Amino acid sequence: MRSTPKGEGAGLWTALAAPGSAALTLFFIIPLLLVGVFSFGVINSLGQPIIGHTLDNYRAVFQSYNLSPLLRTMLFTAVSTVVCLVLGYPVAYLAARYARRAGPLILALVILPWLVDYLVRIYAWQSLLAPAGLLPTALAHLGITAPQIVNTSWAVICGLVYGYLPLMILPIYAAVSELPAEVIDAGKDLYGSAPAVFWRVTFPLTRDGVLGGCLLVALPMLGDFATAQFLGGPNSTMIGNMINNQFTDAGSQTVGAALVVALIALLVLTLAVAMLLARRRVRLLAVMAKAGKPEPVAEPTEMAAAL
Amino acid sequence: MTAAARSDRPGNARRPWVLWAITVLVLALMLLPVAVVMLFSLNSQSSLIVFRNVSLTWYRTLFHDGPMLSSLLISAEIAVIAALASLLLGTLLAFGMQRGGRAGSTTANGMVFLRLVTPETATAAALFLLLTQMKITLNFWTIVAGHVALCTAFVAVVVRSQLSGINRETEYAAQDLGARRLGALWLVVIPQLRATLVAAGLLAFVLSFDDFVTTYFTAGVGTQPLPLRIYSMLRFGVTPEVNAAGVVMLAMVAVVLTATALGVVIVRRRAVGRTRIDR
Repeated sequence: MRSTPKGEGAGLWTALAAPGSAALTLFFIIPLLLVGVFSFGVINSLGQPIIGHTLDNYRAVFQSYNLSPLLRTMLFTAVSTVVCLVLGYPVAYLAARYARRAGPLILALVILPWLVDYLVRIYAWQSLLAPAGLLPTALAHLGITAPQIVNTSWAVICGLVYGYLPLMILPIYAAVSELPAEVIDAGKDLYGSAPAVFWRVTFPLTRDGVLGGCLLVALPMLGDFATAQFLGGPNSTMIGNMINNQFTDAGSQTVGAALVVALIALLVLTLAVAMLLARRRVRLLAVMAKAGKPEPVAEPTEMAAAL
Repeated sequence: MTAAARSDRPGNARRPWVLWAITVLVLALMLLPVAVVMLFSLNSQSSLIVFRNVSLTWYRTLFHDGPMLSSLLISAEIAVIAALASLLLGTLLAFGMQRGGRAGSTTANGMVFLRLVTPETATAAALFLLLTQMKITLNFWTIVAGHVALCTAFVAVVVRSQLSGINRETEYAAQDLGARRLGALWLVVIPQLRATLVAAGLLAFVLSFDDFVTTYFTAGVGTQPLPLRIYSMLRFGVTPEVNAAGVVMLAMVAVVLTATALGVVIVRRRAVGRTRIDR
């Protein structure tokens, strides 16, 4: 018997999805709900978190000395995202519009550092930027005294930009590639100066790619903690560091839970702003879902050919 | 658009040298740390500034370090198990997202999207809380569970985007010819997805193998995968062994990637060859 398209027999497909949904529910949704519950919890006499109904954990999060890491996380993320955009847009634009055969090669080179372990890359920057490291030494040979960077907020921002820049470049590359060249030429035919054409034609038309890139870069940055731990100093802790301390060191898991809720609130805020700015909301989600993660993998053959 | 048509474009007459300058600068900055890691893993001394002689000292230290090797093996084991499990779960989930009933697919899509956007620090800390509340001792399998929950979402997204482009007529034709629905799925749809499945599995492997945050929160005292060992090395002082470890990890990932790329090419060629013979 022939099954009819769409609609009929959807039950089979839903059933197939059950194990995956169950895994995500068990290891992702339920833990997050539990975090919500325990953010109101208390610590019992044995030092274990138990369910309660207190706002003390949130008070602890929003105490003045704890507020600064929250604000700092937002500031670092905002600055790093803007730097990623300023550096990433030209690279993506060049690769998509001018570089012809070099385009895939440029993308491959952008993705290549990702194959090196995340912590090893941070370590490499640590040794590059250290006072007696390679960069200051090289600059000293040129007669420039480099300012101390390691253990400052600038080092953390550098590390964040370095860690997530490829995620900015990939969606913008896709957006610029899809932009018909005729549109830009039309702008020029109408005597638009280069900046005018860029700001009034190119940039608005690639806005969803830009926003997708910003989200892909900003969301993981909000939770990052290894970058600040190894490149920053005592005055550059981020919310991720606080969560790490509360959960793994001698902290309180209930305060940690409240911090996770605060991190999720930041995430929701960021998503909401991006949605408001997007031209087509549905498309923005598609951009994010597609460029999801390091995908040297998406087209292994093409990448191999380019290298 | 072809390269020839592109160069005809009037705007391209001027060389965008500013763009090239920025691109070269960005690429140099991106690749500099990678170069440093590779170069100094071969240094004969422990200095990270002065390069003396080429030597394999640090690799020797690395491989004579028994725990280091076992860490490498544990990471690989976890990545293989997590990749296979999440490939199965994620592919099935993708079918549900694409073809399931309205309620089912909306829920599945929502969960996968949430999983992709939520920072790992939040999800991993939450999983840690669940496991400690359930009085489960953290071990090898809790790491696998964390990785499966992470990779399943990525596999589902990758497979789904390919699945949405597949024409269902061939499937209906197979059913008209007597195949059951799951039979048609296995005989007609899965072969069309073969390259995507390989790519998705590979993505899952690389994600799991390199993952630090989830591993960090779900690993017990006894199990120390490679990223965790590197983390503790970094915490307790700078050693060039880390460079060597980084290069070894890079090499492993590169070998797996290249092997798969070759595999995909061979599979495609064979498929092409077969169609020709059939005709």
